[in-house]
Amino acid sequence: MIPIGYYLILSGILFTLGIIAFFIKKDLITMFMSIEIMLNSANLAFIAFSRNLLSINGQIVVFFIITLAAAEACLGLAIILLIFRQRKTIRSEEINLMKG
Amino acid sequence: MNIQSLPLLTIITFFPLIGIFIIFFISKKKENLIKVIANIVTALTFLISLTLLLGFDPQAEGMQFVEKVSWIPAIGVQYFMGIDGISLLLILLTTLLTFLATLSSWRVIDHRIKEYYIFMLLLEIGMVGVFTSLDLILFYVFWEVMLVPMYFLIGVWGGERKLYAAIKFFLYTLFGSVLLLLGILALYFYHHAVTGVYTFDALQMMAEGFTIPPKLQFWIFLAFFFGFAIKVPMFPFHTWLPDAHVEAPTAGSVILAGILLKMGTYGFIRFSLPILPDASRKFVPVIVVLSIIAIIYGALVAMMQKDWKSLVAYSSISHMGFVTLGMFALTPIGLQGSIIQQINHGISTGALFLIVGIVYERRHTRLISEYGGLSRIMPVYAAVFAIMMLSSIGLPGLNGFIGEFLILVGTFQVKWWWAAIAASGIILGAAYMLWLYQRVMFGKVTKEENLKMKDLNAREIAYFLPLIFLAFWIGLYPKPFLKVLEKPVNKIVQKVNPDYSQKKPDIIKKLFDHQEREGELPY
Amino acid sequence: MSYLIDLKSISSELILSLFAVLILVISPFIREEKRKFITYFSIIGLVGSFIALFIQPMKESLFWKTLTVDRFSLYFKALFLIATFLVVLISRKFFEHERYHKAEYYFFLLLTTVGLMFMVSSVDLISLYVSFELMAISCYVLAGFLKRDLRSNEAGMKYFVLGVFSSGVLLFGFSFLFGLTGETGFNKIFQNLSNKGTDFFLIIAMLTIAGALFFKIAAVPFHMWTPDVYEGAPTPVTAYLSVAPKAACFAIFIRLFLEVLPMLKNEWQTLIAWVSLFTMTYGNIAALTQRSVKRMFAYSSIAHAGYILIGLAAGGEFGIWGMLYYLLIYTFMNIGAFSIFIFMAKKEHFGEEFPDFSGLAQRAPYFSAIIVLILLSLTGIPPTGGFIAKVYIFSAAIKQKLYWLAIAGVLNSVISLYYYFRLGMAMYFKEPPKDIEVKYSPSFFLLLAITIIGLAILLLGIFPHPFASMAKISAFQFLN
Repeated sequence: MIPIGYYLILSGILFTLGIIAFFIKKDLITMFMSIEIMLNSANLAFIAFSRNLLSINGQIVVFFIITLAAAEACLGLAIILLIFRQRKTIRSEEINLMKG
Repeated sequence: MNIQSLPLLTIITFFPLIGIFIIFFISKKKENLIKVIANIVTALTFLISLTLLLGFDPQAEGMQFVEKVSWIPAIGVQYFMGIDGISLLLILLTTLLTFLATLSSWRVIDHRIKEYYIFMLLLEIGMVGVFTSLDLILFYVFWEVMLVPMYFLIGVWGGERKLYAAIKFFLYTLFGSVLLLLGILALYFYHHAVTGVYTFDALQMMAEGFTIPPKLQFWIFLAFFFGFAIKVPMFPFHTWLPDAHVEAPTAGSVILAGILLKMGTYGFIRFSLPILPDASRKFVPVIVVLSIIAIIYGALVAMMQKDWKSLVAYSSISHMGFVTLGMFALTPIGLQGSIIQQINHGISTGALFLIVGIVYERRHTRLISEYGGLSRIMPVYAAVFAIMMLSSIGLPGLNGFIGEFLILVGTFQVKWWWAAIAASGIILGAAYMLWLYQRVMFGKVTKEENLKMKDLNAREIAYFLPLIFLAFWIGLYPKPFLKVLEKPVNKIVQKVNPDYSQKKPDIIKKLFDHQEREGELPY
Repeated sequence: MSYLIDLKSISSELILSLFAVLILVISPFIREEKRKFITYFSIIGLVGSFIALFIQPMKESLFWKTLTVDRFSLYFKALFLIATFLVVLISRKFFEHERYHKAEYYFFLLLTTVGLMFMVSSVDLISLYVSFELMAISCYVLAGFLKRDLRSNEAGMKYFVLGVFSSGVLLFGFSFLFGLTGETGFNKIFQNLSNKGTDFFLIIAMLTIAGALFFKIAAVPFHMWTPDVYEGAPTPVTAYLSVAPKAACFAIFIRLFLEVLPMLKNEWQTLIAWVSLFTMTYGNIAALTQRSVKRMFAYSSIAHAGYILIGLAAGGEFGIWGMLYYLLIYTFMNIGAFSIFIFMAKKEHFGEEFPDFSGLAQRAPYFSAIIVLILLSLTGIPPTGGFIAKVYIFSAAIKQKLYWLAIAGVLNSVISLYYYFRLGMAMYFKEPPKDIEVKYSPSFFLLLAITIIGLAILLLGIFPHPFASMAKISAFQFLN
């Protein structure tokens, strides 16, 4: 059996990658994808813990997360589409009507 | 019927609220009706406050007309009102001056009349509330409530630099009062730690057997000091005063000088001295030095002013220096003098602002150089001005003399040279006032416009009469005033300066015996 | 079938959900001109839900220990319902003015409220996360609701991207809480943790959860979305966002940190004390320099989050209860503050800059008087509720000997006076512009909302006792 530490390290790496990508990428879709990676890293951690601690709760959480992430993705894409239709761009630095 | 049992203090404090309600529902087009109602309400408030005299017993110990109801029981805040001789005099001064100030604004205020009188009445609630409340939070509430209408009075009906003056006044005083609030809270938690009771009751804080360690006293005193000293204002916190006084409309200046400044000194007397006696004694040198600086500095700057109103404003700083000096002599005579001088300052400086207001109303300028020879054109005006100027200088026979004399005697008992330096302030005071009088009243009429100026009309004379009457009364027969003050003042001195009250020195003897005095006194 | 009985305890949420769904279902059958009907309909739902709060039985744990209905949650639920009620009142004029009065708006508004109500009831990581997302997703829609308005959908986009980011961080923290204990219920997590003692991973979990919640309450350094979203979102939504989700996150803060993580008390108190200091100072200083009144209020709401955090940092009797009281008065004054712009709205962006307010006092005296009350309350000057709330908060700090925080707090109040009364100055001291003909005709609902807000601010300041004791009882369970 693969020790839990490995899963956690992978989860930590994914989470960090997600955060870094979120801050350095300027494209809304990519930013959104990096958030999904963060969510999945949490999912991974939950499942690993769940298996390790023999507690089913963790897997229940994961189902909820997946469902809600789908809902978020749906809404997120709708918003991005709306932005694109109006401004013909989804680069985050170009969406800056408000300043101050 | 027993007057003591009526909730008279609540009635006096909140009576103007009735006026606010009535005016609120009157159309703003009916200007005269609004004016009449505001004047009637302030006059009635003054008359009701006079009934306090009927029930007040100068011999009684402690607070009178006490009203005590739980207000926010969750944290032990009470609606606790009560007065002693000190508050009594200041309440009467407040209601009188508010009435006169309202009367004086009849013609001066020509726009947004409805709002003006509403703010005026709100202001009165806040001021009377400050002098009646004995619960620290209640006191603080009134203390801050009164800032808001004053801010609007300066800002809406003020002079050219009204925006700056209004916000400066508000920021300065709020800065002081938030620190005051922290001091109150620290006191509150210390009281709870010692006695296990959550209360803001000021009397409990100064009760026998509740002592605060000197170090904590020091910090709380410092917090209170910021709150009160900014309001007085003491040097170097005075810079808001000339701006606010000069830019405020006449009635606003009268109330600012006459009453608002007294709230700071009242705070010292009511709360700082009896609650924090050790720290008060420790702070004496600091405050005395600041007071003396204020006396001299205020007088010198007043002398240089070209603007009539700012001359009077700076003279206020100088006079308030006397008040704080007498107070922190921590002797009964000094304290009595200090309170009498507060009343005097209210009367004479209030009147001086009214006097400036009258010529300003007619000529729309306050520059001293614009006037000259007015005594020929306006003889009644000149007479009134003369009386009030002499009262401000401290001419024997008028009120100013009594206050300053008592303060100097009280200070003299402690350190003769404090009194000596302060006395020089009186000379400077006489100099700038007389010089002002000479420049505006005597000589030839240099400006054409001045020739057409009308003398005082009946309404204007009416609002000077009570002030003149009081000036002479305090000057010639101050005994009733001193008698009212005797008990509370002795109580405070007993608390703050126990060494002094134990020895009970024969004051008159000391006055004439320098050598002996040096060795015996507490300092 | 024992859990069916539990339904009784959440009847107020059920009523609200029912009305939300009904609105969505019946709206296609209502003609455009009759859309007003929807407003009444949502008001009825809110009032019914509010009444149900007092009738429904309290129960410590329901639905397999995922929810609780205690006094603490009831207090917050009442607060959300009041906030939503006020927001519904001010919404109609705004959306009619924007010509975009849609039934979906009310659907999402009520749904957000349901999410918030479940959030403060949750005592389990799963139910907390699900209700948190229900609230958050509806909020993203609301922020970008005016889909033809560039500023609104920019706000929606920013709120969405950063919001999802923060919920990712929150989840990561949850996964550690779960990993350390194998449990998702708050009680069990606490029991397991208290046997173990502190742990490096526990600190990480605490920090990530705190970070995510700081984001939602707009605390420095996670505040950067706030001004843009508050400026761009439809004004009633801004009013709502600045109040209700914030209050819910404070509730979660209290529940999670005091019930689940009390063993880290020293650590999180220090953290929150510093965050609070930076938040209020930054909010106030940034607000000083704003030219747009709306952005000024956005920054001021950041500053208020800082004041409320003082209560959490100090903790204890005064702290928690002060927070509850503060949040109540904050609900009224902040919704009041943002409703100003609905009243002012004339043409595009009019009524957002200081000069637009010149001489308002002479044109709309009643309305200006209430704005002044709101401003006084925001500054914390008696006799308004804001004063009493600040007294509580600062007392808490002094009681815990956090003198520096109390001093910073009061000095910040002085700073805030300056910018709040720039608005007061414009309204009262400046003359109204001669060239622009402006007539204000507020709708009945807007006037009603403003009047309620003004009365509430005075009532909470002059007779705080009933509300203070309510807050005290509600906070009671966290005092030991």
